[in-house]
Amino acid sequence: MCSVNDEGAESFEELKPDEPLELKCRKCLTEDGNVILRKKDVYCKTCFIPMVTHKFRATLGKSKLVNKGERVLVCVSGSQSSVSLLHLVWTGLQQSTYKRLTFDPVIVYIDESILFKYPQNQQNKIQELFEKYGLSYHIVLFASVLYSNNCLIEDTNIDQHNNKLKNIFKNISDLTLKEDMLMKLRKHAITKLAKLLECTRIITAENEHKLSIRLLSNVALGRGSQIGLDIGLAVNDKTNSKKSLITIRPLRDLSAKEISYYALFNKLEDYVHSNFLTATNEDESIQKTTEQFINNLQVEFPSTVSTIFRTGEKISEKTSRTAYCSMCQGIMDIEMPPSSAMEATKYSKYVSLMGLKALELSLNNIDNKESDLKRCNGCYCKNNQNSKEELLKNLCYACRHIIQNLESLDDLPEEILKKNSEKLQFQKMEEQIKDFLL
Amino acid sequence: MDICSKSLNITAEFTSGLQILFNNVKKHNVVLPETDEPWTLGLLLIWIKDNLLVEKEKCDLFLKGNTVRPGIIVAVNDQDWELLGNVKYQIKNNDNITFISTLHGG
Repeated sequence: MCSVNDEGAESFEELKPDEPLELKCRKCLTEDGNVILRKKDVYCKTCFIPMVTHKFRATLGKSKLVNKGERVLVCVSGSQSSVSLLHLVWTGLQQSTYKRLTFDPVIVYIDESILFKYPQNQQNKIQELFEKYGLSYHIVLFASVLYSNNCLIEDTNIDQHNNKLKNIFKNISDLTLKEDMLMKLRKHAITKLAKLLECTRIITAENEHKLSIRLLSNVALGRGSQIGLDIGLAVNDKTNSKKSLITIRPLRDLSAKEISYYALFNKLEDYVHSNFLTATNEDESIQKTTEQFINNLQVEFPSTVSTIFRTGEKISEKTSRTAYCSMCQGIMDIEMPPSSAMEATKYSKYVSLMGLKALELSLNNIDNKESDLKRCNGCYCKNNQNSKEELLKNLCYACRHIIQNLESLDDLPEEILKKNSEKLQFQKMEEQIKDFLL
Repeated sequence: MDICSKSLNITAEFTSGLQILFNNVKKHNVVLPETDEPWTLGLLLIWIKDNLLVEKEKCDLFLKGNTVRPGIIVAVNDQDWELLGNVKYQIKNNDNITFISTLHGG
């Protein structure tokens, strides 16, 4: 039941900044507090760390996501979140029998130094860190994971692969799309590594803050239907028919502040982990604008992030027939009502392309006409254009934007193209036998 | 009277991506010169901007107005600055002040 007061609406909890804060830890009530969460809850160091650990274990333990002895890929990028994740996992493994984590972790670090400028000895430092923990680990180059089949051993064509990777990002001029593409390629790389290393679970280190930023920017990017995949606790990769591969985000109930203090109290070193948005202005990309929006709200209203996050959790897919995008493996909207946002965007784009002529044709003809139009433009490279068209058909709205920027598809990882051609063949076959199906 | 006793020795640490604004150096041992006013965190922020910050044109990635940018956490000797009065906190000798960015990608 909702409690409604006399004014007819629930009043918000008011923050009184002038009131002196309770300085003792709210849990043990004896020690002086070190951290203040949600602007009111004070914790001391000794109570704070078990609290974070407990939250991590509770999230991980929920519905027994990981079985005993299962191989789990732990993705460490060097960022504060992931360094904390590594520490949490390691601490879990050292516990006494009844509390011990029982899975078999494989640590992986993807070296993206080809795209970003890192301090020179960063890779060595990461290696030292992994050695210190004494768990089995792999350090791989981003380009070789994407393009080579034996990236774990040796990549003989590394220069060629590096160039391919650089090419992709050179062709995308828009910062928003660049970042989006990087996210998708990272995801692709991680999935591939998990398969290579025979892991059935993937653990990543996104915290509540990061996920709520991702949630809102996903909506803005036209990835609304994929929110569940991108922020969920346990996401099953259904496209992989042989074995289920589940991505787990055990830090998703922890706030950025909690992680930062966990790292600080445990004296965990973190490393530079850049992306395309690092040190860019806020108005240059959708993701950064979203981040700024959330952060500014968060200062005044400490419950912003959790509100966004809990609301996002409730969004779920309801389409019965699902198709997956060849690139991001996300759910595609295929069954659309006639006046959906996507149709509207399509129509508006078409009208601006065709001018007055557009009015003579009905909406249904758009697809045919549009492809005709493109084919005429690119007669000299008809084949190239065709394969791009074919790929675009199997991409979601957001990925289409990215691919349209690329000059040639050769720079994309082989698996994506292969998957797409398989899909196309399947669709062709379905078309052929469609009359015989009941 | 010893002048050194009035100037303050502190360490300023920049982690989780913030170090890229400070020449990739995380830990800075700093001596704050003697002034008439007592050193507060608010004054320190401006001092850092003028003296430590290498990439001056990216100053708005660190400061916003007279405080830090939303998303940056400040801790003094492992204690949250929100518990100490934010910018009003008076810096003591040998304080260890940590700035942690929670923004992704610095």
